Amino acid sequence: MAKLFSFNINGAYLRFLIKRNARFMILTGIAMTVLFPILAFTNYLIDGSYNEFVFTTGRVFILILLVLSIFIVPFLMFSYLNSKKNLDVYHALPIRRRDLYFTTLLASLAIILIPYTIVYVIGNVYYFSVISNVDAVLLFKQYYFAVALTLSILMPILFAMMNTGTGVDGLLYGLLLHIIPSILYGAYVTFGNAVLLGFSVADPSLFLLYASPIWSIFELTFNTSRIFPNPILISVYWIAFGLITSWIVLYYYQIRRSEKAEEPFTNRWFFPVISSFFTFIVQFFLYSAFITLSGRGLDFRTLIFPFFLTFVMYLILDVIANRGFKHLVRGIINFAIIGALSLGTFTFGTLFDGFGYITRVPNANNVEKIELDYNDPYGFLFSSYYYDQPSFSIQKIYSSEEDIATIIKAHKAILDGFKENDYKKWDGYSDLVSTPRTPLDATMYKQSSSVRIVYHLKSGAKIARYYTVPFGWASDLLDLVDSENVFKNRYPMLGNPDAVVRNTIFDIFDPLMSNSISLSGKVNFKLFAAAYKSDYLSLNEQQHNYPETPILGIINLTSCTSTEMCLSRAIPIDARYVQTLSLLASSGVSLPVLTTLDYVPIVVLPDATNEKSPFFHIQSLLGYTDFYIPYSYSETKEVNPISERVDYIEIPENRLV
Amino acid sequence: MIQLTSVSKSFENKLVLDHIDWTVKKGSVFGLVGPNGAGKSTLLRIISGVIKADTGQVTVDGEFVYDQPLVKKRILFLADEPFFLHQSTLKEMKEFYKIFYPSFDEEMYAKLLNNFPIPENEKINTFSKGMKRQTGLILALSVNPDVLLLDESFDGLDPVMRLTLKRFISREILNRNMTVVISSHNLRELEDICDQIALIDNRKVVMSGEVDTIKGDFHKIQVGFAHDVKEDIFAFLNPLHVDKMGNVFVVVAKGEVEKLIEEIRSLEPVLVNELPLNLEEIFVYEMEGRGYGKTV
Repeated sequence: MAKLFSFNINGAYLRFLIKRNARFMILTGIAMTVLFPILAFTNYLIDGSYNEFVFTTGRVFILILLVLSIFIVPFLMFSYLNSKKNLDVYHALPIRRRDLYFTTLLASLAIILIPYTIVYVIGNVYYFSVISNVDAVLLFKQYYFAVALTLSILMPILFAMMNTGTGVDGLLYGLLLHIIPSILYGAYVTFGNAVLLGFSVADPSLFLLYASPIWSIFELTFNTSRIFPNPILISVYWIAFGLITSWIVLYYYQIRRSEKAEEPFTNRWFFPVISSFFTFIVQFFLYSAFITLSGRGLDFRTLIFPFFLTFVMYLILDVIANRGFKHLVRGIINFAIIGALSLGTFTFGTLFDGFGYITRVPNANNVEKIELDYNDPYGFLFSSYYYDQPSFSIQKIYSSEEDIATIIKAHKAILDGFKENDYKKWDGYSDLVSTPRTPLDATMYKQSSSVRIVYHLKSGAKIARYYTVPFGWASDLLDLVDSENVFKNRYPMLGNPDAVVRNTIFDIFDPLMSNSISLSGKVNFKLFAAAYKSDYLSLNEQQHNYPETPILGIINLTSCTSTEMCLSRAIPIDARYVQTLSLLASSGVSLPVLTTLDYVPIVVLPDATNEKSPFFHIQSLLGYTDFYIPYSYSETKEVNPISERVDYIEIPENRLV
Repeated sequence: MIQLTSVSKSFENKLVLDHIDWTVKKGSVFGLVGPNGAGKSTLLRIISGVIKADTGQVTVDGEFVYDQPLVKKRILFLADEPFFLHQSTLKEMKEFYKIFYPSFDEEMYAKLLNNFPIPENEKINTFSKGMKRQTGLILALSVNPDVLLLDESFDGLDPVMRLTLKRFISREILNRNMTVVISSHNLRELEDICDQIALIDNRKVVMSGEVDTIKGDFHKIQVGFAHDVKEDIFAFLNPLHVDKMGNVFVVVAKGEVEKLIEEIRSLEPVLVNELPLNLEEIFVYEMEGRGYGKTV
């Protein structure tokens, strides 16, 4: 085993190789310099000031050049592999093959990284000197990620070179190996979106993060907000990948025969395996894409064009591989097998609901927690308007047994909704809102909710589903109202009062917001937040949804986490909020008195005869929208999607306190 | 000493060398001949450690060669098409060889440069085929190896350069006890420089030995008759070749010349005369005797 990992770097040869390729390094260094520090300086000459964005763009450019040079350098350094006479001479040299391989590999890395390192340092020293508040650790991390992933990008190209006999084939299949993960992922997503009801990917970037080193190098370097999976761990994964594949490639290097050096493929399995797999996934991708574009569902006429398109693609690969048409018949037979397999898999996957994908709902016992995004047209649980408030985190994770059961119940109700409406006859689930070809009522149809559920199973796996459904189908989710998460999402500043730096508005209004009293300086905000939260959470789902107490007042609150980032909320108070009312009283605050209005406002009140009436939702809307109910239904008397739940009435004054 | 014991090699299920047993003594200059595709280059590549024999052993002075840098430092293999780094000059190639061969002799290199008019700083890819061969030979000889393997390396050289090289090699063998194996189709060249020769045919070494011994074993005898006789009259001699021009025959056969002449005299010829026979003729007749090129 120790022998397997033993190798010596020939220092003299390493220096010789680096010196011989100095001109290439100078060329890439110049290109990188132009695109990073010189670009920033040019921008300064034009604008008269330094722009951080230009420096970031420069860093992206030099990373692109780094990746390009990773594709070029192996063909400079290992070109002798593609010539019989050259390979004979190298293998006659008094150096162990593994030493020659690792010395050349190390020289390749040096030739790739030396110009990048020099320009990165120069560019960032310049950046330091002209931009204030520079995050040096971040810059170092970005450099580390670029260096750490270089080997993992290089190795698939070298792997392709070891299995092919010419530079052109090596380059072509090196590129194929690098794009296969992206096409595979694209095929999966396109197929899911085209034919799988509820299709969603738990972490859209996760697959490529682990499957494509090129994708990963850009993601790790420039997506600075990523915290999971840990970027350092991902870089370690790619370093390990690079090292393991180095030894796999070494194996192919050592058995490489010069007799086959100038043939297209030195490994007879390489072309059939790679080209067949590539053709298979391209077919899958194109079938799905054409079905989506046609909007006709699984119609075999739609598949004819992508089938023949991939046929041509495969034949081109076959002709390149065989340097002619002599194996055309065999190529056609191979393609027929690949085509039958992909068509069969695609058809069965479509007809059998993605082999259970569509109907699967996890058992509550297996679920550790659930991530939920719910956008209903009325903002009942979460109003989308504060999603652009980065100062307060959104609470999406539900982990209590009760919440998990509620979400699973809602998930099942959504699936039942689809079953009852014969979802298989629909053409595109993702077009639910814009396509008026469903059996649903058009008005109800327009009032769609989007629901995304990500189950985190105890096994560590994730199951994600996304639906755009009529509001009514997902109404079971309203039962989450008594969840702490919902509280934190509805009133982020009360859920996390420590994050609040100051309140620009902290007033209490009468129910019709005709009169107000400032609470600033009178009521301790943190105590208020704690009291209100305690009151809110003490109410059960029944009490939330079927309040019988009238509104006593509305807190108008605008809280800021910093000077630029502020958030407003209207917070209703009624008799159920005992601790809050007590705090107000002990702070010497009397509830403001309603003044006489010169108009009759239109508000929505719960229908006491309807058990499903979600009065709390209306409360959340009151005040914030300046007492304007943004629905026209009360005027037009149209049937509307929430008519089962609430009535629209003109509020008589005697109903208000 | 180079020792091959039961060496076999196949490519894609095609047997190229079949249980070769062959020894090259230290300090000798061995000529390796054989028809196209006989396996000469394969044999040299196995000796130099470029490829590994499927079976058998290859040793140089008792040490295995394949992937053994210490042994390979003493061996230099110059392939039939010399290799040069892309866009390189002779000077750069010298640096390349110096990295791997500590025995590289700058003095020898300078001496060779004096004898071969090769510009040191010009790109090799601008050279003619002959100049490239000279460049390869300059580098190979400057490495000063104990074992020099030349695969058709003289082909493409003009007569003056060939002669100069032969002199160099002869002198080095004397000075350094170098072992040289030269494969070539040009047997006249080999005859001048080699002291031993081996013939490879049909995947085996079919003939190997001192040049003089081999030459002494083959005889070309002119025989004239007073009357017309048929060619098969010489069948009892197992001749390698018989030529007939009227009543005069030229017979090539193996064996002791006195005995052959005595047996021929029993046929009562009017003329019996031994003619000179060079190595190339021996190679041609031997190969004809094996059925190679006979129909042409």
